[in-house]
Amino acid sequence: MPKMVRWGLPILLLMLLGGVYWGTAPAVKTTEAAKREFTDSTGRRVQIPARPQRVIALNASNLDLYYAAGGQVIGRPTTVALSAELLEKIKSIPQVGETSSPNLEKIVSLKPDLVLGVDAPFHHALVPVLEKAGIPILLQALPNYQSILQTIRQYGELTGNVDQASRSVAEIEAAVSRGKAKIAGKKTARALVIWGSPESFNMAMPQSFAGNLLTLLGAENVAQLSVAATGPMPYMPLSLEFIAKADPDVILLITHGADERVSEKFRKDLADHPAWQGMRAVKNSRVHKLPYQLFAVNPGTQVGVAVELLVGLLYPEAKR
Amino acid sequence: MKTLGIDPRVDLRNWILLGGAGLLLIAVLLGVSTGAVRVDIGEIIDTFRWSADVGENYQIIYNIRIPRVLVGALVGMNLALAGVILQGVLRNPLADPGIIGVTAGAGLAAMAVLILWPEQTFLVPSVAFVGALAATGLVFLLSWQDGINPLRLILAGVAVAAFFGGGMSALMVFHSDKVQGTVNWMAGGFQGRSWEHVRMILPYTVVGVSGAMFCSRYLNLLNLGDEAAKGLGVPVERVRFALIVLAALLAASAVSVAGLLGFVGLIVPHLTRLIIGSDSEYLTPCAAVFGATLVVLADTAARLIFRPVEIPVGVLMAFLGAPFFLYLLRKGVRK
Repeated sequence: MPKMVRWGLPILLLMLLGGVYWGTAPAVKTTEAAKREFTDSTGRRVQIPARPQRVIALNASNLDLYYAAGGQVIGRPTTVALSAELLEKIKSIPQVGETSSPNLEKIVSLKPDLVLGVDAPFHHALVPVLEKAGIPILLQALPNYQSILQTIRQYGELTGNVDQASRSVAEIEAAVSRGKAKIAGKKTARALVIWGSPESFNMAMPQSFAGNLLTLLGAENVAQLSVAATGPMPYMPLSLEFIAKADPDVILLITHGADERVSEKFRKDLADHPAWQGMRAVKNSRVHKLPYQLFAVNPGTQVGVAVELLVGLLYPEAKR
Repeated sequence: MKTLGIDPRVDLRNWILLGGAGLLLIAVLLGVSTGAVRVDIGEIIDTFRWSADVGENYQIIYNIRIPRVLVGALVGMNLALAGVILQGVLRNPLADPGIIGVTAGAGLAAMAVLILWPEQTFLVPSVAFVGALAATGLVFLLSWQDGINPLRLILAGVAVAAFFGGGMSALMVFHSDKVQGTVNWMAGGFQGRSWEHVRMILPYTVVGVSGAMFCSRYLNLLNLGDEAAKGLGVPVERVRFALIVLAALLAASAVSVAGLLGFVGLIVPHLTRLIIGSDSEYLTPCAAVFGATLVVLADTAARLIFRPVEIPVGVLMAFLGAPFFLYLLRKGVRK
């Protein structure tokens, strides 16, 4: 018997090798509809239907922006990081799994003519399989405020609902200008955004989404004072000594989880922490936890809310 | 006078081997016929007819499910064999593909691509393979002393793994926002594996499995100790080197397509040994078959339990496999 296996197993595998290398499968027939070329944020040029009818979004931001552009999807990610209104609207739409591990079988079985993903390895990995099935996929990075507006406009062209898209863009722009108007003429706030926890943290650089909003509101990000600010990385580990020297007016925290405990706890943690308690922001109780949905992930159409919140925290005197 | 008879356990072992092969077949069929989307047996058969008009679920069966199940089986086979060979050659029960630097090298190479050049994700298997072999080469170089000294190899492996691990930590700290993209690969899994991946791993499986089948006798002899093996005419240094290279190729090809799937290479050889004994002539084919079966079954379960959400197969395997292994271990001790 061992002799049989000794020969049998390699021979079986060799046959499989032959089949895999020289076998041919029939090609996929794709329906001929009007096409357009779309360049996604990774620079890939993708042939997609001029007016996609069956769209699947793999993450919350894309779903949010596609609806803001007057579109509808047939498959959605398993997520709750969306506004209550939108969650109600998409309640009955089939789920295709978590953003970081979407279910390929489910996606293909829904027969989409366009899939919207993010610029991350777990979605890049889907590209070869979906291409074989004749399904185009767009990978969108959405790293900053401008990219939100731009993406809504682009999606508006796809849905054919350009008016709706323009209305959404105008609403967001109005919310942001309201925020900016409140702070006109105020003294520049010096802020630090921490990503992580007071024990293990990185600082948000101008390249991050939160850093981008600080710049937008004319606040000074103390992380900018470091040499690392010119690098491409959105979050950098920096020494407490540097932060103590920069002594920001406001410290804001973004945690990795959506755990919404009040910022009271965070304030107390820093006040008890020997390294942090001497800083001006801690003494003046100007440390706050930012909501996960608005700052840790791209807030999409909620960016207006994020800006309003940030204005209140950076310039408390501007509230009224 | 008592004649030299055949070991009475041979029959039992043959049956276990046959049973394992049958189980693997069932696992593969189960893997192909179940998933997030329900398909008929008829549709699966139609897939192999190469007819021009393809059924509704052709894409799902042919381009998603079959390659995924095949990759799982081949990865399980490779990792289990690499484990058997390394544990035998190094005569160390804790030896697994991580010990010769494969895991660390592949991990750092893959992570660098996933974090720094995510748009080149398709390169990950090749890069991981090169990284694994580079790290193994480094371990070989460091442990070389008129041939490979097992103790030096293990220590060099630990040092190289620590060095590469430092590189991974650095990448994680400086790109904390992109770590999420690497988590799936680090945990190991078969999400989105296609025919490209089958083509990538299969040649190494063929070479590795053939090599392991025909070298199992040497594994038995090496188990007697270097001196005894030399006395029996085994060119110990050369055989040891060849076997470790074989294990490195098996493990590197497996890790490059499946990610860091740790558990299989360490546990499956022990599991097989508990079931069938430590005669390498039975141990190697049996471990190959069991490894393949375990991975295919675990991957199928990982897809099904919370569908359409998938659990990383490595996590599932550790949760189910470790208690089962402990159970076998206790049962074995009592006997």
